[in-house]
Amino acid sequence: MGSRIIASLLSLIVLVVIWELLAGVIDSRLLPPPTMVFAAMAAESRTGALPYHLAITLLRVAAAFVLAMAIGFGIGLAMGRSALVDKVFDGWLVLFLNLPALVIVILFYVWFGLTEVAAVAAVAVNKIPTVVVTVREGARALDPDYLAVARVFRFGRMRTFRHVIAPQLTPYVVAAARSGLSLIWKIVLVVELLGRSDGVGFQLSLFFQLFDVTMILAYTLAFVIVIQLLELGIMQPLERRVSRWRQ
Amino acid sequence: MSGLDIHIRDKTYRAVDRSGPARIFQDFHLTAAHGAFVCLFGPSGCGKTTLLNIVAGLDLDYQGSVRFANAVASGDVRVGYVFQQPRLLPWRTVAENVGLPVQDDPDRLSRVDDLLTEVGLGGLANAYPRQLSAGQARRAALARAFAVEPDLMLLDEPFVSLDDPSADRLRQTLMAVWSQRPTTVLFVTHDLDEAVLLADRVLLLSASPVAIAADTAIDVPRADRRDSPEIARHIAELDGLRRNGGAETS
Repeated sequence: MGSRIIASLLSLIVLVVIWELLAGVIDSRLLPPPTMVFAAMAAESRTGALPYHLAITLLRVAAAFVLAMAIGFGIGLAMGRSALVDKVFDGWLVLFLNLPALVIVILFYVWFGLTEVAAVAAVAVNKIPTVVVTVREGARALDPDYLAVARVFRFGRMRTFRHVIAPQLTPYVVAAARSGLSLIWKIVLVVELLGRSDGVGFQLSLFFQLFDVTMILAYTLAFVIVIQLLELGIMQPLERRVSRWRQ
Repeated sequence: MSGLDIHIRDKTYRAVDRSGPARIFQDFHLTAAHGAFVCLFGPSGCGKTTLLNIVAGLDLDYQGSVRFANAVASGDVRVGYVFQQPRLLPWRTVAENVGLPVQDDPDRLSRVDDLLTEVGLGGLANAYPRQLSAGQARRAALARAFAVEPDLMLLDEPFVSLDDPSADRLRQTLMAVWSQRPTTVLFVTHDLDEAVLLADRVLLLSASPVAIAADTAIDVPRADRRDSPEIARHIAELDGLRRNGGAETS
């Protein structure tokens, strides 16, 4: 585990060194060296602009994530447990899975205006179908033997869900959450670029119009680092915790 | 309080292949006195597990009735079930598995403790099922079934696939726990020696549809059953009946 982290750190350092050398050779405004990008990041942090926009974007990510997980979980569980519900909504699911993210974002802005609600909802709707598919898979795989135990020993609804159903769904929910985070933060940038006046995506569109590659890279890197920290600091420990009994 | 009266007019499995629907039970009748230890012995696949599932209320797709003397409805009857596989929840510890069915009980912790000690799992309360041996897992399943203080105990070949010494130790544990917590028992097995060793009453079942081919009371005190000539006679007699009845499938 520790050696894996060291290895990937080393490989990242190699990438930065190559980038620095390449930037030196090309010597163009269009490929700033990493030192310049990190300096820009520090400067933007001091003015407070970078933390502000980063926080706004992260809040949108969080809201869309919670919304998509909750709704997707409910629908997925229903479709996985009821053949009828599955039959009725399977066609819808296929349709939504294949709708391009950009189309959903545009439609939501057209229908509901360039509002915060429309922005967050558009991101959530993009993610819900994949949560549904994953959770449905888990609900279908529920072991009838354990459900029989719950019935014989009269666990009742709450205890059955908490001790029999939820632990079996956990790996699927964790998988949905991880793939969810990586999808959502990318779509949030698109949503901000098209219809918000703050957030990392908005800043990126601004610097795009100015052709300011240094700032584009500074914001991008900051965002990627934060998301990776979330993944390492929250998602992975969470996954280890819920799969403790497997060891 | 828990005399048992089972009457299955009809239980038919719908066709799963070309063989057509299979009628497992037709006008099947079984009664058990309160506190009796009844062994159901018959060829594998004859419908013994189906019978237990019907009695446990897991299988509702049948015609007939399962009645408990003095119980207003079968819903009032506490059933303990030791399945053919232990079916412990792998994500809960041994103590949690045993305690879950009685979670609302205020003295649950001490009851779980006592039971785990009685079945010989005192030191493994906090282990996960994955860390248990096959025999230990079956002991935990036994403790869980007794934890609900059942009016009726169902055991479905609970010692199958264990080596002889382990199975034997488990039988002794079962009898020890049962004598502390007497309850009506339906014990399914395809091991004749086991049936005669444990039961007050051995029912020999024949297949398709299931019928009681022989109903033998075993009156020898349990302590004297090993090497008892009467027990040997029971075994020989039931074995002969089984062969003549064509109940043997393989």
